[in-house]
Amino acid sequence: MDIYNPGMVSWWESQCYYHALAYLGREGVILCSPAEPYVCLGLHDDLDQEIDQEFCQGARLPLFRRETGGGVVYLDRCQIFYQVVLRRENRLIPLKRDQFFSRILKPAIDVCLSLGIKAELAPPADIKAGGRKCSGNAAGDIGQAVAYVGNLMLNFDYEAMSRVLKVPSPAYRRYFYEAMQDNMLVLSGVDMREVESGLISGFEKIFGKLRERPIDNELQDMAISLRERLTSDDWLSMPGRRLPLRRIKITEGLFLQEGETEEGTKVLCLMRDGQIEESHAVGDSPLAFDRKGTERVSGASGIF
Amino acid sequence: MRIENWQIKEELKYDNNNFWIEIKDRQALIGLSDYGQWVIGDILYIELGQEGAPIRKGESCGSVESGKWVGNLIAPVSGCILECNSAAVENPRQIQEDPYGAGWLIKIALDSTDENGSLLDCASYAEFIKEQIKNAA
Repeated sequence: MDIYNPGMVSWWESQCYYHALAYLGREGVILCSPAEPYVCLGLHDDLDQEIDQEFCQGARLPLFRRETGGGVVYLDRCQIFYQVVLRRENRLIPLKRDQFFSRILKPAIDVCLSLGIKAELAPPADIKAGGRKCSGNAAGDIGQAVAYVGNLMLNFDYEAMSRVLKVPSPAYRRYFYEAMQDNMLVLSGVDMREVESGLISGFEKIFGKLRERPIDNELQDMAISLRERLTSDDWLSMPGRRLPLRRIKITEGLFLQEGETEEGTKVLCLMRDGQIEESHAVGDSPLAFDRKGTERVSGASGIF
Repeated sequence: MRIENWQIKEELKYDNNNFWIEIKDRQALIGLSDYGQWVIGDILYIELGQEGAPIRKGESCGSVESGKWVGNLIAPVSGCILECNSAAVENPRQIQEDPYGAGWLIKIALDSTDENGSLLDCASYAEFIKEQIKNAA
């Protein structure tokens, strides 16, 4: 198995190399980080519903739609990506694709454990420590290959993430920002090289000794041609899943959802594992939302 | 017929992407087999081609997402899409609860019947599933 460890690459290269490997039918592990921030949509995300395009344009944040699952993510240089591409016939891949996450995420979990962070898999594909997410992951069949991709966060720009997504009100945005802070965890103060070497030794336990390879011309050329398609307006604007009420996933099993009680009061609900954990009445006023100060709605079981 | 936990209907044809195909009067009704829906897992979202659009055997006719994995639905035959099951798109649980009934996916007007011979009958599909299970063990 080959490993490509180009370190810091341009924003589009951080997505296109694994797509290129997959379309070329080549197996490999890639470790990299994007030099510039960008926003990445999952294959089935709906651009118009999900993204505040005006903000992204103003902040010069490029958009990319990957061919793997999961939702919109804000990505930047403070995250280290691991991307594993296997041919579909590889005997390591189980019949049910999502069952492979437990194996493919072991290196990232072990890195966290070595740093004293009690991380574990939150099925299907999050890594959590103390209930807080420190790694997001996704997978997809691309060409004749399967790609498993994920990241470890050494820092996270909560403010940027809360601005990138389209939300129905300032109150919603503030609640989203707070909920992310409460439920996410970054590996702050950790040396990136240390994380990389931990990941490499973890992947060697799965695949055997990894052969380090540079990005070659074939890979580079395919990546460049894929960039055009995967960032084109037609591709980005492809319709995706739409919901009648805004619902944003924060971590596995945790959603922020807008709703309305039977009396017509607008509410914001934090739903954990299908149950309302918190709900707050919100008005139409654009005044800042005070989660601690607003009235908590009891029995908010109205229209969701 | 049952293979382990999965039902296979004897009157249908299958392919090795786990689709069932019911052919009648140059039309094909297509869905995921019981085993196929199990392999995919809890379906969160499904996207099917546009009605009226041509599809080619071996090419994508839609995509499916389950548990952060996405995959293409590969057309088992060539033709033109007559109808997509909007109820299954709206509620993908139907595909898992009733894969051979309410969970059907698309109806196609076949270009020709030439491709039908390459589809698997029930017995061959049962062997295909057994082989997959054996290889995965």
